Amino acid sequence: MIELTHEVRGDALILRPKKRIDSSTAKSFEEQANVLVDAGAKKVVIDFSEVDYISSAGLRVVLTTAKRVKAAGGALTLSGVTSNVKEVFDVSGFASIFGMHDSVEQAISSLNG
Amino acid sequence: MEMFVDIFGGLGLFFVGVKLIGNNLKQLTGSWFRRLIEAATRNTTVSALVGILSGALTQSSNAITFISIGMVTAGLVEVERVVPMVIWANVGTSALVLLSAVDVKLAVLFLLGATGIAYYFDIDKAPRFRHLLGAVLGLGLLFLGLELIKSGAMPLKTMASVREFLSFAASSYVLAFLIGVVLTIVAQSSATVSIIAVTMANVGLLTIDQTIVVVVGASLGSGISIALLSTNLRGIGRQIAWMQVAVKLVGVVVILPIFAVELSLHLPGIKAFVFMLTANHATAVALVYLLLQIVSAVLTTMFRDRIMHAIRRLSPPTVEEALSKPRYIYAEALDEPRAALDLVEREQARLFEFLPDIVDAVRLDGVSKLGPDLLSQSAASVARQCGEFLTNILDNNSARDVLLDVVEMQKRNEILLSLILAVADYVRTIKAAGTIAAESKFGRLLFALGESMHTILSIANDAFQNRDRDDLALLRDFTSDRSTQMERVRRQVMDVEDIGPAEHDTLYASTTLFERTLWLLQRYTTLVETATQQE
Repeated sequence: MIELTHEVRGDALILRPKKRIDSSTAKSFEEQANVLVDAGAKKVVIDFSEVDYISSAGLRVVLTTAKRVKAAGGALTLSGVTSNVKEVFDVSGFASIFGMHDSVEQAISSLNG
Repeated sequence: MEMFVDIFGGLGLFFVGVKLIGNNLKQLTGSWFRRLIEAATRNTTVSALVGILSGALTQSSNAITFISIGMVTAGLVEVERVVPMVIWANVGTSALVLLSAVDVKLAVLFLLGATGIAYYFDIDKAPRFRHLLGAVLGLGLLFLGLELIKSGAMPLKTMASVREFLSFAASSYVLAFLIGVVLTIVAQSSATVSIIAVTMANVGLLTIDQTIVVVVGASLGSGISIALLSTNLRGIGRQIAWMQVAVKLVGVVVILPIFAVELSLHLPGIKAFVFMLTANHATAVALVYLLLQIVSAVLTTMFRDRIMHAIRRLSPPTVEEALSKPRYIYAEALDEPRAALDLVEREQARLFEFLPDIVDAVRLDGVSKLGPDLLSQSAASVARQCGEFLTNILDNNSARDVLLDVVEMQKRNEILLSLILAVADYVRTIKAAGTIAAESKFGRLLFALGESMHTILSIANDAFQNRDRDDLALLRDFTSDRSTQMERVRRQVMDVEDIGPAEHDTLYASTTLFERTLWLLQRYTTLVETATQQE
């Protein structure tokens, strides 16, 4: 079970997973994120500042969440990626496709822009 | 002494002849034999006829059995389809045994003379005739050898020691039977041993009864020989070999008791039957050989399904064979080219399921329990079968729109095969590198490459299963050109860490293979997207 907190700032939903997103935690992340996104969020930021490990299972959950947001007419971006997981986002192409921002504020403004 | 040299030389010529015929006919039959098998597999009767013909040409049911095993394990035909051919190949091997019973001395000398002249005029240099001429020379040498054995062995029957040995052998049919078994295991051909036995009967060295027992023993010997040769086989390969063993056993189990009753109770049986057809001893033995093969083939064909059921239980398909079996494409679908192309497309899309599992072998988070070599070889095998299937669609159709679509699908197939090999190479490279500190820059890069490759291959799998335009577009984004990125990450590792030559090689190989995998995926995606837009 993943520890996931969230915050609503204006019309943006900020998801904050913690520690590890791998095959053992990805499913619970997906389930919780789906409930929050389905509540009507159009702008979603996933803040990875407290995540120190992400595997392929985690990346795929990020992707399915992004597709869900897009299907609802919204957009998703990433923020606060730590050095531990930055390489995974870079090499996989997630950083360039979804955008990777230093802070949540920058991420929200990119979604507003 | 001269007599033994004659027999020895005759045997030598005989074996050279057998080898020449077999080797040259196998070369000669290479491409057409393959097409023949494919065509034959559609119909049981044709398959049986092809078996008889192949047995007559190669003079070896072992050769047909192992060629069939090769075809089936390569995934070119289904095991059930080659079984009639394997069963009836034995009947074909009777041709030479029957010929050996006839006096063909003049024909043999003429054949050798004509072959010699052909060699003198360098006709053997022409690729079209090389193997045909080699096979004809083999046939000539084989019969010349038999003639030498015949003439050399003629005085033997007057020698006291030989008479004593033969009367001893005649007193024990078990011994004659064992001689047939052992000689066949050594010579690897029941036809060969039977021909020698017929030759011996021809000159009166063996009685008709002894010779028949030797011939039946030879059949059992052939079964044992195949069983021995198939000990290293598993799964479907072993199923075919055991079917051939069953054919041999059925013949022996049926014919031997009938002959035993005929001998002991003097009731009419096999011997009486063949002597109704001929008065010549040698021809009678050759007919027994033919009868043995026909009885075996007919009975095995009658109980084929039951025998196959039992064999399948004894030797189920291996995991690799099960994985290497196409799920969608099948030979009958070739009649409908459009449907056949759809099936290839589904089969190709299915192969993308294998790719993330192959990468699992080098991931901490990996869940696949099957080894990467097994998965990649199976996937590559199915891809090759798709390639063969596409070639068959081309061969069967000339409609322009079908041809264009087949060519497009062939392009995809080539990319898919390269993709499977690239992913397998990547995994092999990472495994060969051994343990690299996870917290080092290089270790983190390898982790990122593995997780990224697994993710992108999973995205590709979803995209090609669904063929959703948005998913395909997303996949195109994920597989954009990475040459600059890979160059940068290589430099970053080398700037920060002092890596040795082996790690240097791993760094280059892994990043290059990652780049190649994405490039191949990009090309495949573009082809699928184009096809989707046209639809």
